[in-house]
Amino acid sequence: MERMTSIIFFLAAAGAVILFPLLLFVVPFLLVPVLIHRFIVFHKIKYRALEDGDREGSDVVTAQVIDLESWKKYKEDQSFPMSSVDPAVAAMARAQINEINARELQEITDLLPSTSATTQYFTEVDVDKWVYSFHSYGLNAEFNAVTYGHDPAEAFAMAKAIIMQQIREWHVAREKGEPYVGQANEDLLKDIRALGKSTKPSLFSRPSKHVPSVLIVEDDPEVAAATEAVFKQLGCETTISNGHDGVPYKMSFQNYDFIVLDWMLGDDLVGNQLVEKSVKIIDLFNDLKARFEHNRPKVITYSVLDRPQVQLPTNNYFYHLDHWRKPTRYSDLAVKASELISANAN
Amino acid sequence: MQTNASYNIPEELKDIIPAYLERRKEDTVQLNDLMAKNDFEGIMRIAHKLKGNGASFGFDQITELGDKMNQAAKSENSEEVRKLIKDFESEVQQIRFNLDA
Repeated sequence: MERMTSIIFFLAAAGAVILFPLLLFVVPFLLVPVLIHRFIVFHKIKYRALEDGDREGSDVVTAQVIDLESWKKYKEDQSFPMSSVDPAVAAMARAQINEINARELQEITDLLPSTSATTQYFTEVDVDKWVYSFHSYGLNAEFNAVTYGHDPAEAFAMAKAIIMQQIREWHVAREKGEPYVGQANEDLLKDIRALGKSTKPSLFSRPSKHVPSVLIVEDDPEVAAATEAVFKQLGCETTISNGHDGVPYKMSFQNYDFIVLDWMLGDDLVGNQLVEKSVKIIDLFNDLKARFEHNRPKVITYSVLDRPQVQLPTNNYFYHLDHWRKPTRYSDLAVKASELISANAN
Repeated sequence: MQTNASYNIPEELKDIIPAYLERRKEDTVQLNDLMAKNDFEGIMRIAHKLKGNGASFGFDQITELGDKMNQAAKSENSEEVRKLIKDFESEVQQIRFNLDA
């Protein structure tokens, strides 16, 4: 009996000696990758396009999956049975989605909490009607958006604006030590039936390319209009500011590719002051800092003054690309703007 | 003085020209007010703007007058500034007349 007890005691002691280091070292090593997989940037991107079918009165959506690999993971989701869709539309949609994933989605995910899991869906619910949904969750923060548009890019652009706003709100909540949940406005989808036929060319003919955005800061309304006309002719999206309408906030919160900045803006306001104020605003927000350091808007100063008299303050967010001297004839302005856009085309 | 034919107004800007000339008319009133108060700083601000925008719309004479007015106001030469304001007023009237004709 005593011998038996000794054997049991010996085996227990030997087991403890073997198991202790196992518990101490091996188990954490097994657990850590699982935890990393669960919490550190884990993007599940699924694409699907729906066939042009009548879904009136039914919650069941008939789907054509563009990305089959992703679909395989979700094939148990019976509400999305596979069907057919026009391959040309699917190809063009996929090109748009690829471009979004390569550029703009990255801009968003870079600003999200590092421990976030993000899912996005592009769904064609009718001819030229796309629903985009975005869901990202992490520790103490959640971001959601559901939007629609005539194509993936349009739907995504609307969602991007919503998510960027949620990211700003999250920063404020985080400063206060509060959790944040950005709600998706799903009621918006009720309006999708009212979405008319696209006025733009269909996905078949529309080239998928980035449209440069230009902010024109100019206190002379007619010069601003002339400058806008030049950039519009080049296919740019334009915004005009007279310099006195809170433009530093536009410069900080919007994504402009180019800023044409009149230097002497009236009432003793100088372009330099606008840049300084924008830099101070950007410095307040980590998400803005990250975005501007990654993608600096190019500033073109526009003034009667010579180049040496026009200097942007030293900063990390705005790049002083060029100086255009006034007066500039419209034809010369058109040439300069055209060269600017071609030289900086992405 | 430029003649109607010599205005090199780009087709794209033709719709903007009436508003542009209306604002220049307002400038003449403001320049006379500023001159009455010997406010050369204020005159320089408007002259600076005229120098920058005239030629952009095909009105080289306005750019030239703006440049001269800026210089005269800088050296506080009242007589010259008064003369240039008158010249500018006449030029704006002439342009309007020529374009209406």
